[in-house]
Amino acid sequence: MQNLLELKGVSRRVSDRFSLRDVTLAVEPGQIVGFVGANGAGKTTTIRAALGLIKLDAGEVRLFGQRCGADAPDETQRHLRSRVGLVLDTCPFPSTLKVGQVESLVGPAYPTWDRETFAGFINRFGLDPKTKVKGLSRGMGMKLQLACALSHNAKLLVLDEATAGLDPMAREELLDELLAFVADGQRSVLLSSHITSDLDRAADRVICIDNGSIVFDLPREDITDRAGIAHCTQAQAAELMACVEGTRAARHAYSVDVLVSNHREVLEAFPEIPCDRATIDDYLRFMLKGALK
Amino acid sequence: MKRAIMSELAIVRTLVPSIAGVGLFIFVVLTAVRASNGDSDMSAAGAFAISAMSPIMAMTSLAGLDNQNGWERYRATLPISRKDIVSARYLCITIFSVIMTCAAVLLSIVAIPILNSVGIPSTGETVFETAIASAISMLFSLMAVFLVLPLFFRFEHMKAQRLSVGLYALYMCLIMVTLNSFNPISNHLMSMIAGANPDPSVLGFLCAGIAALATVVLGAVSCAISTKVYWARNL
Repeated sequence: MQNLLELKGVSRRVSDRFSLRDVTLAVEPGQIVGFVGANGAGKTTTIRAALGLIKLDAGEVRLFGQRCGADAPDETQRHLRSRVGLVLDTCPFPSTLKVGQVESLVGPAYPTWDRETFAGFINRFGLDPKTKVKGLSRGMGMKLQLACALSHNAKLLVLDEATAGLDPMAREELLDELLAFVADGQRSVLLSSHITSDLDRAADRVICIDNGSIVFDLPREDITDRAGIAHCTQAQAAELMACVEGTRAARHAYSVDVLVSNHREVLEAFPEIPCDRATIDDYLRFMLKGALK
Repeated sequence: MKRAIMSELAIVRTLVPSIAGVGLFIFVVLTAVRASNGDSDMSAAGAFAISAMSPIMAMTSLAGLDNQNGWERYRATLPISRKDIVSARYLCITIFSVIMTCAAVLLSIVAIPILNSVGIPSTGETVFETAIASAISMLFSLMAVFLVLPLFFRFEHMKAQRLSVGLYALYMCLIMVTLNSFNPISNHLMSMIAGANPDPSVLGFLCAGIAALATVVLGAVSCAISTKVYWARNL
């Protein structure tokens, strides 16, 4: 099936200290793709590139199979953007507007806007149409954005740090909405976050970016079900790293933690070494900071 | 284009009460001050002031909202082209200014019998003169706005505002110099077009027509520049 979003070799110099370098990623239908990385790693810049908000030095962006960069013709951009919903970390609507007025701001832009759907979400999310945007909490602001993003029959949802600052209940609600959104197998979500526990539950793939380059792009099961952390002595770590390919180590005062790609194989081959499953957080830490074998 | 205008109008609608409130306040203050000084054109001055300030207030308010909460970036992800966003902004500022000018002239007309009833008779401008002068005030102000609007599409709000102050000053100097230098020429041209002893209403229409033409030309050029700079801008 056709990818809903595809970035191929995208490069863009942002400042003297930061550039996107050869970023390649794809979002397939029916997937929630977690996009992780440290603050300033390039997540938002990649999303800006994907949405055609910045011009590229190299590479191309494809939305729903069609080229859609900042240089794409207006008509193409209009058509493709009408199928994308966006949720940002802060509520982007002018603060003097009321919740009910946001519809007249965003709705006219979408040919497929459904007033009843929007009213339904406002009602379901417990948003008061008379409340001003500046009076909304962070969670309510996110829900208002989500209501807008889901009211025009979007095929692709892009969430940029949308879960940052939300309480666990609000995060849970958001993840439930996202899982329902992709349930038909036709729609997808690109979820940028540095809260990796959200992705443990919802993501199908995890893509990590660091310093403007993609570090890994893996199915979530490869991290949370297959990968593991072996807790070794110095000697065990040396032996393990000599035998197993692609390991990474984090050295402590009296022990060494080793990231392995298949914890079951390690447990079979080295039964004396305790080996736990890795979380996305562990994996990220090892990949970004751990020493390569 | 229609979608962009509707979206922009949704914001403009929220600005109307506050800008109208400020306008009304200025109208009342100016009218009261001039009436207490015994000026005969007391309510017309308020209408001129509202007409002149409306375009600038609309522009700065809309530009301020663009920068608020990242609305400008979010708007750029909507299925509206940047060209339409720019055109809608120009159109909405113009529509808003025209409506405010009409309201100001109406207010001025309504104020005359009220002032008469409290014993301050108006012997100043006629309704026609107030309307034409208000329209010309609005058009000159619109020209100033069109002159600086590309800056607001190129830079973020605060920087654009700083730079625009310089441009406003330049614009005012240019108007003064132009009026001084070309007064004999323009008088000659006017008399050629409207005759040796022209009717004041013909002259009024002529001035308003020339100002409208200049505004339309400047607006078109400014809109083209804004579209170009906004299209090239990374958001």
